[in-house]
Amino acid sequence: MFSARTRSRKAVLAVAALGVASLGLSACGGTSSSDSEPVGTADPNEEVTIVVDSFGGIFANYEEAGLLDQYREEHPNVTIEFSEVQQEPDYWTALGTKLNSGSGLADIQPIEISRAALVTSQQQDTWLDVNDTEFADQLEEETEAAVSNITTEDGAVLGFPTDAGPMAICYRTDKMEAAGLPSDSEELAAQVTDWDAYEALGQQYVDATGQAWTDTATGYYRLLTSVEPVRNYDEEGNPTWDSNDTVKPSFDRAAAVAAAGLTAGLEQFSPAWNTAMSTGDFATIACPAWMLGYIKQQAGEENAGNWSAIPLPEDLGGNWGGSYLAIPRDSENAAAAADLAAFLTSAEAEATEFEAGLAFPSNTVAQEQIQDVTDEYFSGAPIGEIFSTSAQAAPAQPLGVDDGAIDVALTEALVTVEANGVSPEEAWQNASSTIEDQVG
Amino acid sequence: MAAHAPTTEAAPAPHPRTPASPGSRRPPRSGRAYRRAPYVYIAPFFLLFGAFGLFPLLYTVYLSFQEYRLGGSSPEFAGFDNYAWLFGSDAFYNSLWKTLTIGIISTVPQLLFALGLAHLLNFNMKVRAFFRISMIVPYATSLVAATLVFGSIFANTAGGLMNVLFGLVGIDPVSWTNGNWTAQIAIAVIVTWHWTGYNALIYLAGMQSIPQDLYEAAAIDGAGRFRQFLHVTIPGLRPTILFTIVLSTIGATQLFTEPFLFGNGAGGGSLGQYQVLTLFMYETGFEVGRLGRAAAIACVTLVIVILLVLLNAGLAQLRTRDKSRPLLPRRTPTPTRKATR
Repeated sequence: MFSARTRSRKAVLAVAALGVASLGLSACGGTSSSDSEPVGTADPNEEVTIVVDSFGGIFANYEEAGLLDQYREEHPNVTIEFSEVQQEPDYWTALGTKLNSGSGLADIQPIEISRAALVTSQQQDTWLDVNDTEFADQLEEETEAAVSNITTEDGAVLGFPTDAGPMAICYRTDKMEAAGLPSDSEELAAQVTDWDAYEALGQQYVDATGQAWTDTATGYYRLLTSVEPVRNYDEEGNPTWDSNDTVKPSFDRAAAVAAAGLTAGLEQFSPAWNTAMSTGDFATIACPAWMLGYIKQQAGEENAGNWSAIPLPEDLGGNWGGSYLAIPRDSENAAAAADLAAFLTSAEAEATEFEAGLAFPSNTVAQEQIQDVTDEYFSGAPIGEIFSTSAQAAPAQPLGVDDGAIDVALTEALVTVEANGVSPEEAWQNASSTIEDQVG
Repeated sequence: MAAHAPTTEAAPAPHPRTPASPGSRRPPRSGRAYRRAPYVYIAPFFLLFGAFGLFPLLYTVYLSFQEYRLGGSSPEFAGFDNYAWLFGSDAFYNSLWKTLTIGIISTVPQLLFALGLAHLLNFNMKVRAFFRISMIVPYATSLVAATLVFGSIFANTAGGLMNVLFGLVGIDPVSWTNGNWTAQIAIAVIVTWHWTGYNALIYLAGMQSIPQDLYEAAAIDGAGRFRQFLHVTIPGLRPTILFTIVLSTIGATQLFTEPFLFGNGAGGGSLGQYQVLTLFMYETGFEVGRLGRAAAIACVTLVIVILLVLLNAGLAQLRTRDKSRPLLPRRTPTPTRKATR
């Protein structure tokens, strides 16, 4: 009896020891930092498969614009395998899990701009420095903001800038006409002289039709904050969202619009929001350049010509979004992946993509090439001119490590004003305590 | 030969050094190998359990004392910081409360329905097999698919099926996901729909093991169907009921898929109306990216599950206990009791 008990105790100890041992092992197997070494030129004769793990249609757009086919034709030795998820947060979670476990990274992993501060401050050892590749010169064509956001303290550039999200306002021409408002792009732009005028037109529209003027308070909030010099953080990287002149005033304005019933009470990127794009449950929407493709996809061919776009009032410019193609340092195909990434973010490729109405270039050479582009889907609006102007006027906002969490908390709070009838003041308090809770 | 047939009573003890005791069936020569064999046989389970059960558990406990970010640097010791944060967080108490309320409004009706359905299915009727099999259909349905369908049934717009039905009786459309209780009720309906049939089948199996003569005796004593149910079925099902309560409690505490898909994310509604513990953990770990904090939530959840199971099992024991026995053992046992020991 006694011996049996010691035996079982020994077994328990052995199992526990095993657990603790593997615990120690996995704790040690974390990041392996390597010194930066220049990456060689891709060998044009070696068979290579570049695996891409992506989100939000970045590579689907490349495919649609014919860029991947073009690359395959010029590089018969290269096979490109890409997989994509729609929502960036899902992608980011999966990417983070792979980084923590130290395995499973693809050869190209795009990074969204709201994660850039975290990537440059905590993942310096993970990603290839573009300066170490032969394509460092190409960075000179990019806008300063696009490059500086992905640059570490030591000057390493951790990704190739893919696109920018200059802001405009998109609207339904048929809905405007039905409400007795100008449906022509120039005429409408002449009436939207500032935000007050935009909201006054909205009130007119709601009175006339009983339908919502704009999709969401969160979209309007994005629009308002995008034109300001700072957002959640100051230049030094300190969070100033609770005290600066951008966040609270924009929040209050957006919340007031929601409380006044000008918004459709939807949640952005939800299925209902997608549907509303084709049914026209709202008349206007904050429209970063990548939204053009999203609208076309959701509203469908039957709404071609029912949409148009105007620039922001007062010659303002703003930016929402943009991504980078990052390459893991440990990738065996780093040279080939860098070659592909450089091609996809070249002036020529980015211009091609915009001409297909898909994404706005962050490359300044490409920006000059697309000045005259118009889009039939958007009633022939001069989208090239509208978005270029906005991109040039857009401030280079400093980013912060917890931008993502802060934005989510604030936009969620705006949804409660629209959907749950929470007062703007209470919503702000809720958001503040959530941010304090999650970030503090 | 003896080693391969240990149960052969007639096998003579071949080794003179260790004489077999009279009652022992074990051939003494094969001592060590024989005693090791069972451990070898169960080793695969315990190795897998060690890799996928015990190790993650221990690692989670370890992480809960670390500051560890998703996609960030390696873990750093943080003492009780994560727990201090957790017990000071309003969102934690909110999620605890929602777990409790959704747990109650989904588990209680679910088990009562299941009991009633099982009772009805226990009667002799035509196409009984059909009814019994149809019970399991919701359980066999993919939870994801079911939740998405229910998501459109409980849509906020006037076109949602539930709102259409409400419209027929003159009730204004309900904004299901936005309301506090409406969202919780909608989720409870999904849970109840999914698990009722499963529990009903477990009850049915339990009922069929109750001897038929008890019912006959009750019928002779003049008990109707309902009294038979109360006084024969329920006491006879006691262990089964206990089992389902324990399972449902664990299930309710670990509820994830339904609220996650119902709300399109781990926020559990923009006011956290249905952010249960697991959603809170997911949000903290994978959306905010604080894995250390999420590990602390996981550890606290484990403790809560254990406490709840003990509490519920205890309550059920109390409720359905044998009335002839005292609740607590008497301090001075009667002589007869002493004798039986």
